[in-house]
Amino acid sequence: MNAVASVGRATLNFLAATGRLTLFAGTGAMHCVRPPFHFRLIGRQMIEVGYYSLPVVGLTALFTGMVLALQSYSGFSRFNAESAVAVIVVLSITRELAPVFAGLMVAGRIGAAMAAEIGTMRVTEQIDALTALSTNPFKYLVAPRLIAGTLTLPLCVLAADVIGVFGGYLLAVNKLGFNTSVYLKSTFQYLEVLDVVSGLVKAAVFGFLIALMGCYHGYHSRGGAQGVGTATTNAVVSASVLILAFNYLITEAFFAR
Amino acid sequence: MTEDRTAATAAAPAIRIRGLCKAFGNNRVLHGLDLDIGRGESLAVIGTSGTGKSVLVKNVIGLIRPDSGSIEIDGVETVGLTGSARDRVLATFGVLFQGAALFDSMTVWENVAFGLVHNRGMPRREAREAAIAKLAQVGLGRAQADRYPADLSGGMQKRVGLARAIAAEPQILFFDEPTTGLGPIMGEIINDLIVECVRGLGATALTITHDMASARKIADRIAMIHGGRIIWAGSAGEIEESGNATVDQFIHGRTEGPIRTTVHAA
Ligand SMILES: Nc1ncnc2c1ncn2[C@@H]1O[C@H](COP(=O)(O)OP(=O)(O)OP(=O)(O)O)[C@@H](O)[C@H]1O
Ligand SMILES: [Mg+2]
Repeated sequence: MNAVASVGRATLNFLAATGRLTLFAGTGAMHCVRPPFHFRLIGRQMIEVGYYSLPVVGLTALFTGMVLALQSYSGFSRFNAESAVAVIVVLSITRELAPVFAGLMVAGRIGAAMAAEIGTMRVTEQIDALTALSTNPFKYLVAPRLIAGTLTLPLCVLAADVIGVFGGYLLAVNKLGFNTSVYLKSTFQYLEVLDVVSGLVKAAVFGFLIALMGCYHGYHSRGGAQGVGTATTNAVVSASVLILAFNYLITEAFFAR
Repeated sequence: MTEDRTAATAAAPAIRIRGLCKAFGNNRVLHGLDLDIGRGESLAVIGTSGTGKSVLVKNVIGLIRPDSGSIEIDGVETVGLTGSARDRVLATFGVLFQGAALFDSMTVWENVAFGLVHNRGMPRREAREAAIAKLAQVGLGRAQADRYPADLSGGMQKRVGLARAIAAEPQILFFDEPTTGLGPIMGEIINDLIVECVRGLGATALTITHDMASARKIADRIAMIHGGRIIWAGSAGEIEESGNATVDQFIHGRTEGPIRTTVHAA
């Protein structure tokens, strides 16, 4: 009997949380498209999300591209299909690895920072002060972050695509003895626009999710420094899980036939 | 229930609260609170810690939505207002929060000028000068304008908060525990500044405090909140002869009496 009750309670809590999050996302998105826009704040967030994430995203992409070339070479050479290495690298990077890894890295960096900043503003009554100064916190705090996340992560991923493919190329040419022009030719021979575009769409969705989780958990944080800490952790964990889940959904939407 | 009748004489009081109820889960903080604040009047609400003084102010400002009851500002019902109607009400308010609540990502002058820049669309250069003038009014020099709130002492932060509250020349001012956590001298300075600012603006003021010296200094009238209601209200001079055991216990800081502290309850 008790077990049933607790299952029921958990379900209700889950549904309530989902509803709250959906409402939050909807309100945030509405303020993203409705003027006035705080361009100063959007610009600052874009620099924060994009520019300062580039080193870590670039390094991740570089090593991923190199590992990919190495692994696929050692695997495919077993049945004399080494020529597939370039294609494997470019498709894996653009479709999957650049958006997912960039998303996870940025979730750790930006999701956490947003949750900590907004959470601190919540527990020190700065959000109340904003409201009392007739400034909607959704317009002023949430919307610029959502916009910046959605617009900037695709740019990061585009850079990661280039760097990742370049990493694979470097390794293949210098270590595995591939011919430069042959490798480059097979890299671009089978690459389709959709491969890159699907990755960028993923990146836009991930960027939105990261900012949404950072803002949501920060906005609802409670109870001093500890509450802000919890909010930060929850923002990163939930953003990471959502990234992987949505990665599957978007992949299915693009490529399932 | 002691309800106040003196302020209801003029047209509409600046703030008129009736039957205000607010609970957080099982914690019934306010139930059936009535309070009037006349235009141009300075009222202090006193009460022990955790009785819902801050919750009362947040209900009036609209940061918390009441479960039931009515809050009229200048005769206009404000419960449930949203969007631009809420903004119009908020534009007449100035609030000093309990912890000053300065925006720590902005400099002191940007804090003070926030309302001027964002609501009035004042150009930044002009707003900066206006902010510096407000800072001077609370005794802070030009040199403080470009510092960040985190680099200021608690007393200075309260002053900046005060400057921010009065910057847009509001008609109704809220001060939540303006002197808590400050030394007696700084507390006195803040009290003087509040009196000066309220008089200067001819504003209505609602001050929350549990500091009796501060209440006597700032307020024309004092109301005591206890058990979710206003149990006594009267002029600042009358409070010694309130004839109310709870009020007496509070103003003399006695541990014995109708107010059950958590130590007794345990
Ligand atoms: N947002 C909230 N959610 C849940 N409970 C709250 C919230 N805000 C206040 N409370 C509860 O309401 C009660 C009154 O809180 P409030 O902050 O108004 O007290 P106070 O009278 O201002 O005390 P103090 O003098 O210490 O500032 C407390 O029990 C508090 O736990
Ligand atoms: Mg309080």
